[in-house]
Amino acid sequence: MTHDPERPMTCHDAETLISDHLDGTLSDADRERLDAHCAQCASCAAILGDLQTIRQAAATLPPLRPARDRWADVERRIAAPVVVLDERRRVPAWARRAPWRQLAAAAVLMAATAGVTYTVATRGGGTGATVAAAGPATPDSAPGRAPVSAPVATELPVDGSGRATVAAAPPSAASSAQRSSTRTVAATAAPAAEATYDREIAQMRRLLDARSGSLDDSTVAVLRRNLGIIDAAIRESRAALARDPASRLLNDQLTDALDQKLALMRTAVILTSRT
Amino acid sequence: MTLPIVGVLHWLRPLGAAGLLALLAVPGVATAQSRQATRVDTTVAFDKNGTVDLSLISGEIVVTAWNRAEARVQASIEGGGVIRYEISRGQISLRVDSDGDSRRSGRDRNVGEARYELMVPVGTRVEASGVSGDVTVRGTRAAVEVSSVSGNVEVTDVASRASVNSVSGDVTARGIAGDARVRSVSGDVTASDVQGDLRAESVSGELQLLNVRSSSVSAKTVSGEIAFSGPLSADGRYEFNSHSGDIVLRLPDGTNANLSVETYSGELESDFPVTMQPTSRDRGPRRRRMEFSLGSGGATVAAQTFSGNIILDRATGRAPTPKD
Repeated sequence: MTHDPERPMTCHDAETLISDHLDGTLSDADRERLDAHCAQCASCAAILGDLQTIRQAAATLPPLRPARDRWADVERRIAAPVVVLDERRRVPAWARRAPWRQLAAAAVLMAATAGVTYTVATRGGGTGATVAAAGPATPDSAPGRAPVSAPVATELPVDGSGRATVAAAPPSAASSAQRSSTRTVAATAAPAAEATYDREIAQMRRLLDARSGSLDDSTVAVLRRNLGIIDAAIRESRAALARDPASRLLNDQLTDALDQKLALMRTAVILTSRT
Repeated sequence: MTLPIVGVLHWLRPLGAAGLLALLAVPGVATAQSRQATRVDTTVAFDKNGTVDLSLISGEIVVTAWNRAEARVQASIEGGGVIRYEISRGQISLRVDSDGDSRRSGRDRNVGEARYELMVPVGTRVEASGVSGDVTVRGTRAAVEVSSVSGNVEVTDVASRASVNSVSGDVTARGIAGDARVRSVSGDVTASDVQGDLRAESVSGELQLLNVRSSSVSAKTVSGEIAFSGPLSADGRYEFNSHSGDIVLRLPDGTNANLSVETYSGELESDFPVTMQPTSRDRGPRRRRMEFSLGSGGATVAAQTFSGNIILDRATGRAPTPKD
């Protein structure tokens, strides 16, 4: 996007140009105008600095490969028929125009890649770097899983109100041998993924610590309380995973919680730049 | 051009708000750019596909659409600070800033409470943000992007994309024909009558997704509860995820869908007769993951929670709540 040089640059204009600047597609003239604006606008300068920091951090992420038990889903999606979208849907206007969506997408991608890393490390069997080499496999062929068998149709019991009810039992039925083998894999592989999350979260925490004074007390309290909620969810998921390391649900829940923690901290950092 | 006008306004400040208002009433001056004042009240010709860009610290923003090719801008700030504004035929921009007195005393952020009330043509694109202020946008039909930190945000009647965010305030989006992204950290989120792709997120706030007619829905929360109602598109995909909150799906009779529901320590309840096809690893006493079909299948529905309950309700025309 090119900024009209005849018009004074607003913060909104600057945000648009920051996106192009991070992509390396900004013209020299617009770069100079953006620099001039940031020299006078502490808010835009702070946002630019934050996003450059995040981009640099993203560049340090390790190479990621999909877990082998993701392949079936990926293959199914690849094989899905192509649906022709109209031009506007193919490249949504907001995606073209709103630079913050692209930046947010980049941020989400960071979290997602970290999530993939975690999944690879905790579920792939061995290190994340080697699991994809064996090619596609079904989820049930993953280490520690029961072999595929014909599904068993089961009718939910119906209570007196006519509503079917199933209580989920606490995890206890998995064979000790199965739990033992998967726990060993998870125990040896998970730290690498957790380290990736820890690094990202620590990065956000440093930014927050440096700027938390710019947020009012009530906002800080809300953020702390909700980070506490997420941390509790992380603890619960980890504790359950320790008992049932092969659970896809628990892995997904932990990954989601870590992603949400990262997203909330990122939101907090952006707030410190804007308020 | 900007500096002389700002200088004149500064010079006229002893005249007070009335003096500034009188100045703004002078024809031609009202369309100049990059000004500041403590009160603005003007009506200008405005393009139907123009853009409005508003921000404030505390106070309230209200934008309402009307069927005129002009915009009315009423803005005021009390308790310190000024409103910086730019008004042209295609764009209106308002933001608060500290005044010279505040700056000299080191109270840069200590601006007062502002109120913006705008009437704009249908089709106007709106971006609005507040820190502790409420933001309301009604009937503009074009893309809307609004946010607040602690204020409530509400958007109604949008034919395009809507992005509605708050940290601790409640978020409401009604009548969204395009894609909607609604998010809050601790506030409750309500999205109703959404037709485009819907993405709803919170940490502890409830997610109420009512009469949704979208073919793509994603709702995520940590401790909040999720309530969804609406018909499912045959080729639609609907994903719901919580850690500890209940997930209530209120579906109409005759729904055709393939469902995958999973809870680690919660319960599954269903008003629908359910024939499950448990996955192999869930055979035995653990029934945590269940896959089954309603009707002839079609829509893909996935609900996942750690400790919450998953409830499948038959729609009765009443809005669902997680407490039901």
